[in-house]
Amino acid sequence: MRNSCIKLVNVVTLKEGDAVGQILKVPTLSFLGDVDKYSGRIVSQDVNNYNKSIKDVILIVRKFRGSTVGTYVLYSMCRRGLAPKAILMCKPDPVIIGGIVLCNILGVSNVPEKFYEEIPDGVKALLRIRKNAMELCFSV
Amino acid sequence: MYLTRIEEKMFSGEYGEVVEKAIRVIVKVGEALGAERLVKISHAHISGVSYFNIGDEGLELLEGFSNRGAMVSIYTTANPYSFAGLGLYKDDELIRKQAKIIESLIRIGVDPNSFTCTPYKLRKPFVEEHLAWAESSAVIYANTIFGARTNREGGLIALMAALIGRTYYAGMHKLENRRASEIIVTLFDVDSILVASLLGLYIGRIVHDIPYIRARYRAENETMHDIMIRNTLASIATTSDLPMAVLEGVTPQSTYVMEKDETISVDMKELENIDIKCGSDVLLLGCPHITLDELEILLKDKQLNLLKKYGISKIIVTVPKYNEKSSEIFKLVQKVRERYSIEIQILPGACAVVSNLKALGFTAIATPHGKALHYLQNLAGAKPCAIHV
Repeated sequence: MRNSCIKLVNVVTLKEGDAVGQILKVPTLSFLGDVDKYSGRIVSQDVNNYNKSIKDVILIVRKFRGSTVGTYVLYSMCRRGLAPKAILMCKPDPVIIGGIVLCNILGVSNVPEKFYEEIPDGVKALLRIRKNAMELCFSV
Repeated sequence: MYLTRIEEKMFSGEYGEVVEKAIRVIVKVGEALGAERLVKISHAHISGVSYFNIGDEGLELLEGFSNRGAMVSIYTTANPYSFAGLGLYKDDELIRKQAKIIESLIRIGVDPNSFTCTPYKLRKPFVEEHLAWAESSAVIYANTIFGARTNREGGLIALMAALIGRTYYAGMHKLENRRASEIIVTLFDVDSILVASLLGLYIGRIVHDIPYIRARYRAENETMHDIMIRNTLASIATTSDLPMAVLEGVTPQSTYVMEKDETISVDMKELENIDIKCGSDVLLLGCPHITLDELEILLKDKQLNLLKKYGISKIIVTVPKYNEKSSEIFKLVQKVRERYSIEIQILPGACAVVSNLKALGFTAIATPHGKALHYLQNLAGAKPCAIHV
């Protein structure tokens, strides 16, 4: 086991802060249809990490897709304590950014795809988000 | 972000608490997307109308807005509601909550005759008109077909934009971001709604940015041509985050920038689910909504004979709310019942995908619509199967 940290600058900070949680990587996701809003689990088989819960994780998504109702679904999940602790996204998505703003959870967009590939899935991590910068530390 | 004097007043609460909250959210989303100012819009379209999707939290939010006197400042339409809006369930509580969502939206100023996922049929956008539309299938249609300018807004964000009459000036509002790069060339004729849908689902999965699509649509008439294109676009918007595509010969030329990049040829065999055997006697039409005029053109004797052969005994048709008073359609319904023993159920202002179909006894649904094929299982609890119509 060794500790490893990835630092990124020039990202877009949606909300600053610190969080500890398990990393959950998903290449493509829609909050409507791919996530069960009552259990917080991923229910689409064509999405990575099928049946895993997004509650309290550090969710890293390369690209969101589909429904604009995702803003509402994320908002509802926040209200019921089922939301991720933070959402990091490579491609900025207005639907999800809107949800992050309304939920007031930690978020970063414009995360380089190279970073998405590099970080391990399923490990516990410490996330620090500052103005236009973030650091993600984990044990591998 | 630069704000005008009026916008500054909104931001500081001079126009009330609701407007202040709305502009603060729009500014924050806009800043995250690189906007340096806001832009006035002339039409907002709100998604998130089904109680099944937005739940008690969404209902409380909407009621909160309407109870505090929120009022849209521009023309605003809304998406269809669930089948609970038509009282189709036995659960009174469910029906009451769906009705409250609809009432709240109307009190906020949403056009009571809208409740459709095809708001462009109610009010046609014009080239370069700035909009704030939610509903992914409508967004991609507005940008691609009319050359209008709208981002793929979240349902709640479109509501906030409606309240202040503005949205953030970024993304699709700027010509420089409307760049088509990947060229998609189909090696087959797009000759049915199902093929048009499967093509769209496939394109949405493979492209990374706005595609330039060169496809031969072969339709018997203009109406069928439009329905096919609508289904290709809705399907692209289902499997991607794309707010726009460029259709060769259709998209207004001044509304996008062409960037030469790789060309991808698409063969028919690359499209999935084309040979699915359908295990349902119920057909869903109207995802996105079709109008009753379109339905009449769609259900000619040739198609009805085919549906009879497939074993279809019931057709559910979801149409815009403003269609509910049409009388012509009853003749068609009667004819289809008498000649083909097929029952047609017209559901104005409603959407099947955002309804719990399992609770209504539907286990499987046949449909030619890509968006419905994608969402029916996880959202409505009914197994979808592809069918040619």
